[in-house]
Amino acid sequence: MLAHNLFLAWKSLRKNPVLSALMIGAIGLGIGVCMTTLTVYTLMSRNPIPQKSSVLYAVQLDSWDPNEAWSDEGRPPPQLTWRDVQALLKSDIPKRQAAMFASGFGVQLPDEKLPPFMAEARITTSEFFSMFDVPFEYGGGWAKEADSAPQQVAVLSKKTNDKVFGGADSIGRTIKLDKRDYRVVGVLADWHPTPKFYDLNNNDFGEPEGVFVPMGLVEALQLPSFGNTQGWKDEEINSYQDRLNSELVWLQYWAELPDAASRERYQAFIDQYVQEQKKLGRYPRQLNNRLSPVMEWLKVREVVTEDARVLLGLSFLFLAVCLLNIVGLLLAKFLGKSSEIALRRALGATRWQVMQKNLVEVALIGLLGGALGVLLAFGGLFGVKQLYEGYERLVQLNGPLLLVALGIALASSLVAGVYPAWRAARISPAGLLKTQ
Amino acid sequence: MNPIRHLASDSGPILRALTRSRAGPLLIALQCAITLAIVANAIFIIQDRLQKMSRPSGMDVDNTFVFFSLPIAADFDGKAVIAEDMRRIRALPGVVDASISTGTPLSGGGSSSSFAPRPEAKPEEYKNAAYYETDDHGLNAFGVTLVAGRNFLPAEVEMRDPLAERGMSSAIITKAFADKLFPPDGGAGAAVGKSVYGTNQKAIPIVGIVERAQTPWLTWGELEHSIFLSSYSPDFPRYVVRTEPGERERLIPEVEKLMAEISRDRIVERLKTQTEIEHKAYGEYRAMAVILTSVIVLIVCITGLGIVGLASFNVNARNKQIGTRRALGATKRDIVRYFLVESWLITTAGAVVGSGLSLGLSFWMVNTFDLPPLDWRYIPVGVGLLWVLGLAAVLVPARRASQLAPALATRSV
Repeated sequence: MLAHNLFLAWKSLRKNPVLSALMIGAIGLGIGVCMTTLTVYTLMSRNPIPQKSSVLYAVQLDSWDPNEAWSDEGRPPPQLTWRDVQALLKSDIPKRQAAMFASGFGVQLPDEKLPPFMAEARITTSEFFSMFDVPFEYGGGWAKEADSAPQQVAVLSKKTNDKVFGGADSIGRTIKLDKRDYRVVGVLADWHPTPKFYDLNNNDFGEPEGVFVPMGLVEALQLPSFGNTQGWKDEEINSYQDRLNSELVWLQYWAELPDAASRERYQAFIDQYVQEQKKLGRYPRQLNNRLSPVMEWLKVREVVTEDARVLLGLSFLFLAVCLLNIVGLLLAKFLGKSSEIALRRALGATRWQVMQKNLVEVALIGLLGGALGVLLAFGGLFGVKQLYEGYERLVQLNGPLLLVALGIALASSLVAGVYPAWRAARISPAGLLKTQ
Repeated sequence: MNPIRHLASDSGPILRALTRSRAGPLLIALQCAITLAIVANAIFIIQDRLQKMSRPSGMDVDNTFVFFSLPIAADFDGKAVIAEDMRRIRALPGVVDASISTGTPLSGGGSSSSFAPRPEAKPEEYKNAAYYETDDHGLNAFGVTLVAGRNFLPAEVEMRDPLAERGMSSAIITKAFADKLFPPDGGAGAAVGKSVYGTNQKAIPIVGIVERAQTPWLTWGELEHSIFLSSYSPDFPRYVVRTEPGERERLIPEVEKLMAEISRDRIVERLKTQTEIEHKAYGEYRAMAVILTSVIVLIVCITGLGIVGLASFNVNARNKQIGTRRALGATKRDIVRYFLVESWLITTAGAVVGSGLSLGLSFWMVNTFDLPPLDWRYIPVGVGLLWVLGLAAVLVPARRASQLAPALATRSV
């Protein structure tokens, strides 16, 4: 029966090619536009570390200006001071934790005649790698001692290792960073957490850094921060040590808290820490420390751009227009076949059978439109990649999204088709036959 | 006959006909309403973005380029190298001027601080401004226009230690920031000779006013609240080079070569022309404008085709009536007019609903996002567009209807 109905539907589509093309085109465009914006939106709002996102918390302490909150909504600054980071690292409540900031090095290639190239670097503590499930190709992270005592060791990204060592197992070899020798202890496998949740200060969708070195080097080498630094207090800063002791915020902090109990204990710990600091004259604001799990953090930091949300909203309105359009055209088409339908009814077809046949035709239109929509979405996403810098890896159609596209196409065309199909099925057999 | 009277006399029967077959016209009207809401809001957002993109940054955009000189050796003598770099770049034929700065307009990186018009000011008297630490060549290298006072004197320029606080520098501020700090007498020159005060209460004398210099950040506070300071640190300096017109592309590799020649203990990084910097800064705006324009074109096509489709169907369905009217003496023009007026009535109904919908959509966007509310004037623009669309779309089917021979239409079904 279905096969027969499909055959009839196909014939019917062929009979009015212009009208059919118009309907398939309208669905296709609606789906194409929606899929394009939906893809950008879902990829922007996707979970960069699904297996652990609910136990990893961004830590915020409100060390800001007594006269003015960090944000209009009263949020604490998104980064911490060096002093506070040192204090937090001493806690043993989190299962794992890491402090970090962005920096950069001039990397010397083995051929010393070639000029060095600039690599972005992350200065962090040892548990960064295990906490974020960072995959290693060779070796691993550094020992915990390197977090406090200077050890010139480095972990390289796959890209950096490919560039400097031709992709070989470089564990134990020496790499020159800013003309200093570092021993390679680990090389990462491909790792692209998108969005780059652990540091959202510069490029939300950027690549992870090319070099990772331990925090213990900071004071010894006076490593500069390449990231965002903010301050509120008027302080004399005349040396690197002054900077470390200042109220400037420039470090990110993450803690892994596996259950509610440890989360509560940790919240109590940071609150108590701030209370103690208040006694020392710091932290002039009210207690306002926050622990945000990954997905909440992405929301707080507004990773999904406003434009992406505006476009998503508009594109669904666009789809609505396409559907209204199709309802009108289907209505015209089915009512135009009034005499054929009346004849079928007169020959014994039930209303349900007529409606079924019409719905199969509508579904066929939906499927064809959906397929066209997917093609258009590829085009749309290609356009988006041309328009936006740095979206290359972000913007890709994937399996689930394709299914969603076809699902929306089918569902929306059926919704659009129900009324016309029903109207057509109500045509009485007698009325039209009489006039023939 | 007077077209208005035509309209009035035609409307009655057309309206009655419309109410008899409700679904089709209703769908078209609804479609027009949503189309209007999308088009009015989209045009508004597009023009808002285009207007923002057209604001001049204040720099000589077409003839400047910018790069970092990042030290990679611990014993790098920043001060000496910068002095040598500047001397040699400025001596290159084709270079107008070169300077160092903590940032350039719209570059995304730089510094900001609070400044007050008097010492011991209350917290609310402090206004944020981006500051560019530069030297006496800074204004000329940027290509900004001095409108009052004077440029920095070489004696005022201080190269300070990287971590030390800003010294006793002088300031040159933008007209916009001067107007903000010293209202209401304004008149750019009025601020010259006064001082601004940082949170450390030190007075920074204002020696000049520039017409315009945007901040490094597109979406940060007031875009033209900038201030040039005559002290700079040799740490991670950004070099700004301004060339004679047409000489930029030739000079970029030449300057890069020169930098390597002077010292190999640093890396020249992120070399970009100011044109590229500003293009990139507005990337999302441009993308939004392009995407919304495509959306408008597509939706107008879809709605237009929908009207064509439905009108064609109506013409076919009403063959008989058309024939009868023609037989009873209606002219071809009467038939065309019938369909035009019908379409006009439908699109107008859609426009009425759509105007409300436009405002509703705008209200939602203003509340949900950081968008300005829709300027009401975009609604009549959209309505006009809708009318043209409705009439244009129905013209072909209406013409076809008018060509029907009266006899043919009545003879067969």
